[in-house]
Amino acid sequence: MPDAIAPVAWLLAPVVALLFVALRLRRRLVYPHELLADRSGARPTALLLRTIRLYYDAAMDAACAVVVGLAIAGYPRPAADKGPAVVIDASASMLAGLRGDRPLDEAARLALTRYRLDEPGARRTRLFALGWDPARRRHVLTDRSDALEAARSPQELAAGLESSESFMSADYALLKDLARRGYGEIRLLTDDASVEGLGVEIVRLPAKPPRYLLLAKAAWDRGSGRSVARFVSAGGAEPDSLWRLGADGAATRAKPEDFEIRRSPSGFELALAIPGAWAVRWDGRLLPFIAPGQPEPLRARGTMAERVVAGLPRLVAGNTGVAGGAAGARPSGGWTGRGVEVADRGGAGRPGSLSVAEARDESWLLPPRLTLGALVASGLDRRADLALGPAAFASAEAATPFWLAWASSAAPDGRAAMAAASRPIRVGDGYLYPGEAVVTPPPGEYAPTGRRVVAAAGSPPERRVVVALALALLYCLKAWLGLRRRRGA
Amino acid sequence: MRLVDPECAAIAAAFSRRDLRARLPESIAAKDPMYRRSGSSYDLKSIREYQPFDDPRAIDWKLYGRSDRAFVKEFYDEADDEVAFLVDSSASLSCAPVEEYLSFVSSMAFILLSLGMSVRLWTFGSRLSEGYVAARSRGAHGSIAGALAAMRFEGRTACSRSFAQWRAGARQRRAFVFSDFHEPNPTFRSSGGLFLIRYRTPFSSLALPGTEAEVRDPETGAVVVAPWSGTDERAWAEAEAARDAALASIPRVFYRRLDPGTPRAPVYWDALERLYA
Repeated sequence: MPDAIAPVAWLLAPVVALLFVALRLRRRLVYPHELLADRSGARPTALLLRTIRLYYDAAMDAACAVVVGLAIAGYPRPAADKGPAVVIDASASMLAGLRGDRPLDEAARLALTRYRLDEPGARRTRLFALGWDPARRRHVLTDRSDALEAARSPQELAAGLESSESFMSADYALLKDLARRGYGEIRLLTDDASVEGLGVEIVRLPAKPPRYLLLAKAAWDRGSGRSVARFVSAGGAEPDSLWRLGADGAATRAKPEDFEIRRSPSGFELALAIPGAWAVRWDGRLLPFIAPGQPEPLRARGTMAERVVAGLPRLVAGNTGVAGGAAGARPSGGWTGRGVEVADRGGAGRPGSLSVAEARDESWLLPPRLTLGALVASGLDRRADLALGPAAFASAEAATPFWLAWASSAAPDGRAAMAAASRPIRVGDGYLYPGEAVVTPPPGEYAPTGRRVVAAAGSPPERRVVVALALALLYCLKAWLGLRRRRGA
Repeated sequence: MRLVDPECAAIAAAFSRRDLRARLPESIAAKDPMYRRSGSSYDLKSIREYQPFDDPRAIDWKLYGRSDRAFVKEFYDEADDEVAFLVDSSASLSCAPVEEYLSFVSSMAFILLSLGMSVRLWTFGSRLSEGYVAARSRGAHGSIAGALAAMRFEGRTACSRSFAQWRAGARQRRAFVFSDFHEPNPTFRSSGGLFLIRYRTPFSSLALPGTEAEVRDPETGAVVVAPWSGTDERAWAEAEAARDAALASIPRVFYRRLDPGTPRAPVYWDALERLYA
């Protein structure tokens, strides 16, 4: 606290000057001490209390000066230093490789041997896991110090973490919470080479060479009347087997007639006759995914909407007339899309709906994301998603937004899945939410994205409220004492 | 400096008009000198022949030489009509309202002299003065007033010791002690006829509330820093009240405390009432 001496001294100087003037102006009297002597304050505590009682004004000013001086010097410190914290990246990439040689095993070894301080008097190192909570479906930072204390070997610690964490993905922004809670020395054990620390010591673990098999896209193929899932693979990863997942997560081996597999330049494609939840096994790992079914036909509500939908017969008729035994297939086991309704009575941005409006003046363009980059004239009507006029209707690309909405309506509603509170079932690398969705680790957990990520410890929140409260308390006390003195107490 | 209050003559006259004879001490009340009590004054009461119960020291040996018979002289008792004034002249009295203090003493003496009593005045500081001033009539009040005017306040207060000194050799049966009684635990032993008059200046009239003052003791010269907040004033008032209560609780003692500006006439009258009770 030596840095606070200078500001406090400067602020105390006027208070001392006032006190000095008060002492100089002290009255000098001649009077017998006989009845005064017993209160002369022989004890230092009595002297101090007497001085404070007499010069309460100066005492309050001095206390305020000390508080302000400390605040200028940065006191009180944002939070009490709770000692070092070791954070283990509990993302899917930490499980890459063979057991015993994974980044998680190395992290457990470091946490247990290098960073756990067993010396008496040393501050206890806290262990945190930066992971993902499948029940709440959000990233979390959990305290696993009990596992660190209880572990007798790195293998035991790694096994404990493996059983308690989901190992999906990590959000490094949560590290700021540690600084706010008072942890000054933060170490992050991670295999992610793109992470840079800002106030956080990054301990890089040796990453494994990329070897993965990922779902790139799954959509209903109108041509074949099947659901097609496209996978990308690297490092020689090959699918071993295909499994069909039930609503309870039970896996049954897929029959050969249920799927077709084709190689592609980046991996392979699976054409599935039955939409729903499936899983691909590769290198002993299971990757769940959803094969969407045929989207619902467009529905129309309103005069203009009916005219628009009538101009899109293929989207209304769906897959009828297309050759293939799986025509009109629907996802089983509750895996159903939500469909799209075209309406012309406003309601822009409503889920499951695409509102249209007629525009005479088309001085704008439809958002390129709705037209796959095509230029389609548009009017301006804030109540509708699409304001279409003569120029738009004359363009064939104007059907693109309707096709995109129709095609995406085959997938389960992600927002509804987020709102639901169904219990997740662990399936291989991901989680299955029955009737809702499948969540798998993001692609960045399998292959480096090259995107730079900064893990910042952040600065703990300043405790200005404490200073303000202290000053308010002092001034209230001063006012109360002044009032009491004025009343002659 | 006016040493006698203007109302003193009226007080003495009013008090003398009362039926004092019935209230006066027995020796003063007797009209016939024969019935006045014998004592140790210089007023000769009678000469009679020595009786076995007489003190042999009272024999008039000159008369025995001339007449070859033992005679004893009897004198009137002088104690009853003489009052002792013990006036504090310590340095601490300089902090009291000195003029009022001296006026009170002088006025009290004036009233007593007007009522036919005699006054013998001692001063005391750390000890009783060896000399005294005596006045036997109102005309002699000047000597009392002169002694008071010439009094210098110095030394420490030792009223208990001074009173004990006086009591050891006193012939007077009544005494007035004028002091501020600024000494630790003042003690007085009295069989009656003791009047304690305390003069003081309240410290609250000198110090400013909520401040502190450097206070020099006039007797010791020591300086203390005395706080004077509400709490201190209460503590001081409690100590003063305890001092008053201790002095007032002495058996058979008349005690009054006078502050600056306190009306003195009621105190004179009360003292006289008590004196003639």
